[in-house]
Amino acid sequence: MKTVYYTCPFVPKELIAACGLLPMRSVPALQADIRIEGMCSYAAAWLEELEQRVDSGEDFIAVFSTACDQMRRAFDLYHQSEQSSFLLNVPSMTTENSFRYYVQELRRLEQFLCSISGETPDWRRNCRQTANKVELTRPNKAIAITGGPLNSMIYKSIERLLSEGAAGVVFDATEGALTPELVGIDAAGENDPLEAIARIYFELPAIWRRPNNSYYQWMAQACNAAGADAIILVRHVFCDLWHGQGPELSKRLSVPVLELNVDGQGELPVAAVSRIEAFLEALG
Amino acid sequence: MKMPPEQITLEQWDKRYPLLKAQGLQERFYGGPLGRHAEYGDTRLRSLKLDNSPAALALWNLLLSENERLHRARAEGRKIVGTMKDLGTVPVLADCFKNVTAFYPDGAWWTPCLMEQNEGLFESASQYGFDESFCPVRAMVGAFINGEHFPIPDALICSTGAICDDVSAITQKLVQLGFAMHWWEMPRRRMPDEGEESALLPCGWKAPRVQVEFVQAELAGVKSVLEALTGRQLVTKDLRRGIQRANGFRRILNELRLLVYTADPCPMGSLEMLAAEMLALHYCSDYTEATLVLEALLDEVGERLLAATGVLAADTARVFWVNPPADLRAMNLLEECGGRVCGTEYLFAHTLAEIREDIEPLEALARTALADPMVGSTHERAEYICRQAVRFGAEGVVISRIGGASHCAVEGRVIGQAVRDALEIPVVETEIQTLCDSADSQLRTRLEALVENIKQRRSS
Repeated sequence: MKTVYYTCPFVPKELIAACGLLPMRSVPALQADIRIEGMCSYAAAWLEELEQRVDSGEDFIAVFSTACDQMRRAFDLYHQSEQSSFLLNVPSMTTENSFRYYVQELRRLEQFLCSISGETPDWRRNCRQTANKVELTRPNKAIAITGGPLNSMIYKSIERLLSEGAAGVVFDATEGALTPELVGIDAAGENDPLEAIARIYFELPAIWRRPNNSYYQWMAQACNAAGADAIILVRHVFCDLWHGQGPELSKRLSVPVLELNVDGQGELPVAAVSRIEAFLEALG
Repeated sequence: MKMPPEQITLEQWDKRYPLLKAQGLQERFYGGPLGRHAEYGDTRLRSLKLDNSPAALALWNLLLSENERLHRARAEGRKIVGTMKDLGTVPVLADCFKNVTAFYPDGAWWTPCLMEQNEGLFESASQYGFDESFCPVRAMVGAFINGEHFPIPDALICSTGAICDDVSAITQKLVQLGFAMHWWEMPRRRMPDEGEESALLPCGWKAPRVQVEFVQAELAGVKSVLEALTGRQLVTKDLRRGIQRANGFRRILNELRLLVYTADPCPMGSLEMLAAEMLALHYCSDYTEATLVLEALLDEVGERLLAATGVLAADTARVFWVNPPADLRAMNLLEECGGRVCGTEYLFAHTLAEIREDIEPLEALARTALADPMVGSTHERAEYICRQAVRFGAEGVVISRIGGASHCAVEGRVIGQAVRDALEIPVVETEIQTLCDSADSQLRTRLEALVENIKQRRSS
């Protein structure tokens, strides 16, 4: 079974599975060798990961999305290599017109994937989503984390630093961690399974939505429910969409916010480490 | 007495102006000596070489008086509409309303250049989180905050979706600062799938019909916003008239471009041509005046062609210019290095193309909007640039990178490679800062090298 790699939370894994392929959401390690001045380090790392897969002879499919300009342009670079790839147009707005367009795009994706797998969509193959609730012991300083997707190395570094400062992550709202709550949804039982799934995915919060009020409403509720004392906002260098929102996050959520840059290296930059330590100290 | 064509300094212009007046120069209401703009703050003019014709004088006066004219339009009771990002489509709709004046607040990106960063717009933007990692369009944030440039519009209309991250982030911030915005969605243009119904777009591109229908519905929403603002319903006849007006303007501009970019010696400098092309976006807030300015430029160029004169030496290196430069001075610099612009793609090729008049007007506008080179693939834009470079006989290409712009990092690489592969001509990709003085010598060296390369290839 071929693997379909993707990074965007708006690519439904259930659709990929229904088409007889293996969905694999990728969070590439941030050690990009692709150095293009001005390119987002995450988009560069994603391209590099795909190039490595090509070099290793792996036969796979890559699904990009239009959620940001950088990824859209990354698709243009990748597409040159003529690998099996698809660019999913995810609308920025949440109007009904945009939703209908998103559904059309998912149908195109379905057609594309089925043309490769040779299967017809079978929604009984759906990835069964189970609630993955972990009972957390509330740390002294409860931190919510949001921003661009993080690879496990960076995430663990942050966790370790927090733990050393008697703090812990109580809520992960980074893009890589976002996934819709599908518990109780039986796509196969719907008249139009694809549209039913699309409706749920379409409502995912995202900073790049225009307007992006729903992200803040969701974040406020989630932080409240998790009892977050502070927020760490992690953004990749040259990611304008998160960069422009740091001050707003502080204003809307009424808790201290620390903005951290990650710059394409595999580990947290030294400056980021110092900033986390100072932030925790300031939290008391 | 008519002077031979020449590029002159602002100081020279200020000496020339009273002589022209004494000779009976007639000007429009925004006319006057160019030096006054520098005195009011547009000090970059002092570093530029400007065309010495009355037509160019009118062009610069129109351009540099825009904020003043917008304030006047507001005082006269006209509705001021700020359109953003789509570069050329919504202003055609807005122009269909008799009491609407539309302009691009994003145009403030040239204000720090013109005012040599003495106006503090970048510093103001930085206070709201928009530092130098964003493109110069961040100046718009400062202009909205201090209200010292354009009047705050009665309505703001901005395309979103397949746009650059810079404008997307900045316009979201404007909303959070209390400026109401009507967004409309622009999908990323794609090639029609096999067997899928398609529509032909300006610039020779194609899009699936579903995308045209989608954008048409979005533009219907924009039309409703304008109708609500003005209290007047727009009928098809008005829309057709607006499209005809736009096409009339575009025809003059295209004639001017064709004459200037193909004639030898070059009859009009690249700086004036850049300004003239920019008029197509929103007629510099005044359709009638912009048309008069363009016609005067066309007449001037026609006379120069008849006299076989120009502003540059014959046989200069022919360069195709990609992206608008953040510093206007860069255009002069190319000419000082022995080059000339023989074709351009300033990110709005769709606004130079005529809009279809034989189909439903909103559909025609949707097709035009979808032909925006920014919303399609970089490869398509590269292919278009190659076609245009061939059309105008380019011997080299300058890709002017915009610092911090989300699209530029990848675009430059793809376009540069496409040009080298398809046309086998030299390419220079270089970032042009808002004030390129500090990088002047490096930029000059690169442009000189390009020109030398072109000349060597001629002789080999």
